[in-house]
Amino acid sequence: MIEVLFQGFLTIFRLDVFAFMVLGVLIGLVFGIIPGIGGLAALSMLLPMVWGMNPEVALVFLLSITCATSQGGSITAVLINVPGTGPNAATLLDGYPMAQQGKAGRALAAVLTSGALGGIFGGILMIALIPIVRPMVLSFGSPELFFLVLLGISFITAIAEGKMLKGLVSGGIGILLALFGYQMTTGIPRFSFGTEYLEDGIKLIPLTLGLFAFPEVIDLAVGGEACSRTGKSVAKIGSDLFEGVKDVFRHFWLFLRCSAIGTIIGIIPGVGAEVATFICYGHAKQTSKHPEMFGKGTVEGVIAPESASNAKEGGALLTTLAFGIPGSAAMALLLGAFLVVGITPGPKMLEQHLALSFSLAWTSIIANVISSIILLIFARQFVKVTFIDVRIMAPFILVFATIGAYSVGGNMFDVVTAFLFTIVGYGAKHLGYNRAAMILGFVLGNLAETYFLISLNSYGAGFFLRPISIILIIITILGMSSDILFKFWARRRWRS
Amino acid sequence: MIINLLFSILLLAFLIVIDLYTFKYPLEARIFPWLVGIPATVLMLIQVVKDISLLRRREEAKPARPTGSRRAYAEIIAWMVGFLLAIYVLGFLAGILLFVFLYLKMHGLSLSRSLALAAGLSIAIYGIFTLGMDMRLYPGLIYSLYLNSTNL
Repeated sequence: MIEVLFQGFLTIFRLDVFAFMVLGVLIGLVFGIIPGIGGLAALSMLLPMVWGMNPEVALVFLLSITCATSQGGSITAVLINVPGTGPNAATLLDGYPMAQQGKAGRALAAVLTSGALGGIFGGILMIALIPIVRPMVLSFGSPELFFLVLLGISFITAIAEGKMLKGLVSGGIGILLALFGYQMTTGIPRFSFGTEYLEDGIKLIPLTLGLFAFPEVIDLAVGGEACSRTGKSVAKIGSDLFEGVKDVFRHFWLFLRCSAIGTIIGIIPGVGAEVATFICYGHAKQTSKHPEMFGKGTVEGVIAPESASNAKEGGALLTTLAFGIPGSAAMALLLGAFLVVGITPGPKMLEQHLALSFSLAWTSIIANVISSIILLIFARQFVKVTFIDVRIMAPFILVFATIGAYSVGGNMFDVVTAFLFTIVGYGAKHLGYNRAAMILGFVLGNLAETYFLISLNSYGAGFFLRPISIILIIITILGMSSDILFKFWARRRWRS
Repeated sequence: MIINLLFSILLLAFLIVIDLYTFKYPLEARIFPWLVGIPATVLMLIQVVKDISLLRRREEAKPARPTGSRRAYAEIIAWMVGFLLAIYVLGFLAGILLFVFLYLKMHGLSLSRSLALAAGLSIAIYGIFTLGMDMRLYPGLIYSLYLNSTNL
């Protein structure tokens, strides 16, 4: 195991892998900094680019983008009071007041140091947990694997953020879309509707681009505008950067607690990074000696959310790799990237691609550190990106997304498919349906059917009565009904 | 909101078509699609009923909608459809050049900047995809017809 861990580490420093990691970090920072284009749009647009790439290079590249996006978003939160991504919203509560007091450099350094260290904490904890989780996953047979996949799909309700009905329907539609094309055991092309194109099934990349990238083009063209038009100004960074680094070590115990909370929340699938950052912000305020200073520019208010936000990725990556259950929407897309590079995601990952799993764990550590260093040096230059009129960016994104759809198989029907799914993606985005759940269902759909049919043929209809299967069924039911149970418990408590 | 209801009906129609279409397959090929499709259809039906009742009560709890006028939506949709048609007729490179130039020019950029950006993007795409990745970009209907006529 130690050898494989070391092998995974060395892979990161292979020239091609490292170069793409740095490129991924730079792209992630830019997309994180531009408000309105999140990491999900960035991932979906770059997914076609990894087609045919070496799996290590491709997955390290995409994971680096995910890690850097959150870091980039925190810069604009501090300097111009605009969170680049959702989780950065907690950072601006104290980050921007610090910048207004002339302590922007200190706030930035604290944000980036706690973010980098949080990433290291989450990554190390993930590496430590892999040897514990691995034997457990490897002991599973096909019935257990089916229920594990089912558990993953059931977490769609968690990703659905309170809209359980729409989340479940979205996940169900994703699974059904995955079943288009040749069926594994019978060889029958399902749902081809007489067309040759659909006999091969729906491809992941046009679907992802239609659901995520093209709707962003519409939103950018309709509602986007440059920060310069909103009258925002960039705070001066100043020269107290080192004070900010020292602040993290002055509050090291707070950093450790928040990183641990972030990692645990990351392990729980479907709980967003926003939850982790705001829980940690609240925790920092509760345990502070001067809670009245929160919201007015205290450094604890930026250390807590940033360490949690970056530590979360390590936890989310663990459930994604070990169980095939993505911890976040970005991880659901990353799971799709596994298919693009020819790796079947799911519980077999730790058996067949252990070195790659470790490489990804190391990536979550090193990409965070690289992005923090780059931002510490070039923060002010990066912020200028927010002053580009995003409406002008719309045609460029549209062009790259269209070529991305075409590049999958050199087929114009893929482009048409992507445009058609834009209707679903845009509707889902603005009417409360869940696009991440659709992608999760799509990625896990075929795997679920395969395990289901193998279990049914091998063990008969009683395959769900095996002990681990029963445990997994109970966890699934509890997971799906947790929201209802929590509301019921809260109501009873309130009455009493 | 009527849009909510229409979108839900669209998804419901898709699910019903899939459920019905599944009938024609042998048991092994239809068992899993039904296992997923039938419950999803039932849930979708509940959602449609909810949307209808919401519409009747005319609740003001509107979903988060992006800012922007109907005209702006119509414009970007027209641009997207136009881009798709331009690619189909003119091919990727000429289509991109024309689309990006017109879009930027109509959105207030100067003639020279619009042309420079559009040409730069087309050249970059040709360099990355055709020369770098050896990918044959779709040449367009006109070019294909021209090739056919010269062969004849």
